[in-house]
Amino acid sequence: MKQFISFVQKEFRHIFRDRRTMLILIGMPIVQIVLFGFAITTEVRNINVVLLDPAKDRVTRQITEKLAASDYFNIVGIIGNSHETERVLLDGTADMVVAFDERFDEKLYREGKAAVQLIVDATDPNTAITEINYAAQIIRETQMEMSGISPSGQIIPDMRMLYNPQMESAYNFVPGVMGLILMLICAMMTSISIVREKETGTMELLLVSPVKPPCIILSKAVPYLVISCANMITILLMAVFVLQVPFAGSVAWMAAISLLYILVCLSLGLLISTLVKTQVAAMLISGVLLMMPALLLSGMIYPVENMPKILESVSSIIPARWYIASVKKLMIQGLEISCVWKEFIILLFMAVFLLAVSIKKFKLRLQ
Amino acid sequence: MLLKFLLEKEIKQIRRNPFLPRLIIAYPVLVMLVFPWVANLEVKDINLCIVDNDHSVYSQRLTEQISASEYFCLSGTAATCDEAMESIKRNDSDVILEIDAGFEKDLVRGGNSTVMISPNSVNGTKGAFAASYLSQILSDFSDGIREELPSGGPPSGIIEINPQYRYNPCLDYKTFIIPALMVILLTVICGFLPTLNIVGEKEKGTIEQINVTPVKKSLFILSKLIPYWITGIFILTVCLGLAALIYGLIPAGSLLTVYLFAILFVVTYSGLGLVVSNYSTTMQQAMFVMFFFTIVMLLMSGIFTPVRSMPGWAQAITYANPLRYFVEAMRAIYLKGSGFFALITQFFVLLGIAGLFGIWAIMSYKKR
Amino acid sequence: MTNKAITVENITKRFGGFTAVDGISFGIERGEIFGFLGANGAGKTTVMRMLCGLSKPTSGSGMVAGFDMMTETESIKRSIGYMSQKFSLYADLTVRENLRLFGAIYGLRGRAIAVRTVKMLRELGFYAERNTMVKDLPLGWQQKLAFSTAIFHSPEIVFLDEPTGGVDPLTRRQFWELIYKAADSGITVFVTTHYMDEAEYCDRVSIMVDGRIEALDTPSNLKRQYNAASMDDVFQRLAQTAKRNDTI
Repeated sequence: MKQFISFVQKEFRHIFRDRRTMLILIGMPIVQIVLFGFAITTEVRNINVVLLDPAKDRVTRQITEKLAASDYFNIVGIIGNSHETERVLLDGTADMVVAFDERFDEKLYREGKAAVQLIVDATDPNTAITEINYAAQIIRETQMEMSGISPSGQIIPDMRMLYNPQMESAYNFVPGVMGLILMLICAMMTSISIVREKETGTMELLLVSPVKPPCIILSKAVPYLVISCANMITILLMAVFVLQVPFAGSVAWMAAISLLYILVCLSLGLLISTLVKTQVAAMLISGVLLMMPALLLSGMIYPVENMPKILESVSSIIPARWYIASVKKLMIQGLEISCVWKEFIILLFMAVFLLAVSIKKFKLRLQ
Repeated sequence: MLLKFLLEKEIKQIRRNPFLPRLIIAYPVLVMLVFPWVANLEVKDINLCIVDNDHSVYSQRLTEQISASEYFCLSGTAATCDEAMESIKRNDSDVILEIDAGFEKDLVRGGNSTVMISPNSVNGTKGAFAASYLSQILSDFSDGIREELPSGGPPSGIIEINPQYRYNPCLDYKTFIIPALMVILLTVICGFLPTLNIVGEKEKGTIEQINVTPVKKSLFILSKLIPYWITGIFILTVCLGLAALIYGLIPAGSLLTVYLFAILFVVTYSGLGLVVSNYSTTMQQAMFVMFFFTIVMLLMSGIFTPVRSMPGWAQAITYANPLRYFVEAMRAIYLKGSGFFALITQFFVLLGIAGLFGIWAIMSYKKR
Repeated sequence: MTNKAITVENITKRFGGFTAVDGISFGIERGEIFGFLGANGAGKTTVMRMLCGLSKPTSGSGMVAGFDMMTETESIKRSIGYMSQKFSLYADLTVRENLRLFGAIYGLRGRAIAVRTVKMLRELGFYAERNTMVKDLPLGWQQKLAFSTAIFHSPEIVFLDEPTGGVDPLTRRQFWELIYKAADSGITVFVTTHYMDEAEYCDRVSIMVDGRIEALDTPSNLKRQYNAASMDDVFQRLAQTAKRNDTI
């Protein structure tokens, strides 16, 4: 036991001595939370609109005013004819051109119909759809107000955004950041630090010492476990107090499933370290095979259910996917543990499997 | 002349590395094959649970109309709202539509009827999309009903809204993300690999041997960067080919402009790698610092989320982000067919950033 | 111009508040084998790095191969060879590729490199291994190869930083034969070592203690001066006076 403690101390010293890495380990989650919480949003805002308004009558002016008054649109210019549409979209002056019919007011009330073209830069299709929706809604509302008749025969939807009434994108990102950071620290750092001892030859030194090999490996894992827990607490505190993400569920179960996930990541790191010989290989493997999938296939940015079936099944072997899903349920939706038993069992199975394989591999290498 | 020998050394070392050549070939192919399918923010197949308190012909028709849409699939009906909430908790449904009793009666009488839409909004985007699609269908439905009713007829003074989607008329998310994937690939290859290479020589001590020789440091560094620049351009070529073959995606603008920007970008980003390598003593350190910057730059580039939606301070940060300009340029060339002169701002800003990184790299090298 | 290969006047190097090298002076003749001894942390490596142009002295002056240490470091680098205690050839290049690279670095032409490579590898008896990856050679061979690479371009001075660490006695012997041969051809050899028997092979020896040169003479004079049976005794006696710790 004494040996074990001194080994753990040695590992901590390695980590603390490298100030820059330490700073990044601590700073990365904070920066990511700030970016995700405040900078990065999937909402669409500041839509630059250019007007093509040959009519310049009561109705078009009213619509223009409404657009300008909304949070979403900035009117940045007016063009004289439709040939210029292409130019303003191409050079990025406008995200959308709103082109009214000639004699708009007259057509609307004499002929019963007037058209408005919403020409949008659809380079980003999602944004484009949202922009059209916003504009269409404002135009309809304006028309209704102007006609002065209370609408009839309408279905009025009453919206209730469950779990996230403010539609904060942070609610979706916080679990993702946790999944990513824990993977980064546990798997990547552990594998690199073990492989470095292999590379420098100090591993042999440790292995010939009377300390049992599992003890050595465990002592390498402990500091990263501690750092991960510290990071997790930082992320949670920042999420709750800075981003005002609610913590609706049980703290104990959150801690339990996070520990389980950390265990999975540590065993992954251990497994990688038994497979490769050089630090570069360890980094690239954990970077390419762990981080990229954790970022893209876990449902953090792109919803899993949108993927083709094959990739959806590939994503089911990614631990981060299950962890992120369970954090969403436990923390944000505040569901009871019975709703995440599936995720729990899958992670448990992964942990046992990975540990067993890496211990076997490690022993094999010793012989 | 000497550069030729140094390049020969670097290329041989890369080729003999058991891992790198495979990575350089396999990684872009994998990314181009897999990620366009993954990187998909289109919201489809939303699971809808309907609580029908009216049990009328109209509510039945509404249900059918919704199930017929490409966005929704009916995951079930529930008798009560609580039951529906259970299905949300189990993740069986994404959105609940509750139809009030008296739905049909209100409509027939020409009054307004209400329904309740409750999407699971943990993923805000998805929730908002579900809500907005659903209200669209509701409004179409009520228009249809009004026309049928004797009292109705088309109301006078309708504004017809005609959306036109330029540059991506099919609203295909893949054409949006593929040029960005090329940017990500070049970032990873030309940022990480030269940095790890230089720090690797530091760790092994072979760089000390070079330092006592008359080789100019700048020449030595250049010999380390050039192979990765070439690799980057090679990877870009592979990606351009794959994009055309698999996804039928061909740049609307000129290939020459694509390459021009790509060359400028790989030079810029490897400059950042150089700065990091100058400040790092171990590979682990270099890796983490690079990782940190790369993640921040990727997130702040507009690749995943629009830059113009960010708050002012965050937008200010993106002005210093080389990725932002490269992504803008790539997307503009690919989708809008912009020519070089339309992108001249991006070009010169990128050039400026490249110069800054270059100067910084040289300064930090001299200090040591 | 003097006939000295290296002259150093009152050179000091400080790192922050720590004085690693404290005003040392010495001169080395052309073609001399100069042994540079000292306990770990005495300042040997720092002196060596300054002489090679890797770092600049805080104060003092000196000439290496006829060039000023303070201002002409690039010219110095062109006239010296260097082999460090860490093995410093590229392990993932073959023997021939390493020679080709370092030959080119010192400005030899392609044909001259090829001719010299064959001649040198024949002399070393390595010709059969010319296409072997350096990492696959035994350590002793690697060291000999590194030395031959360091003098491949016929430098005026060659710096050897503990060149025989971890090598068996027989190979060490062969290694010193290479050193003598190089010195005979007019190359000045500046060598640091921890093996006191090797110190006996040198023309002259200096011993550094705590950043100063405490003794500098031929091995036989030093033994007489300190009334010692071997260089080992001389070294022990001087090293005991050190106040600085073993670590740096």
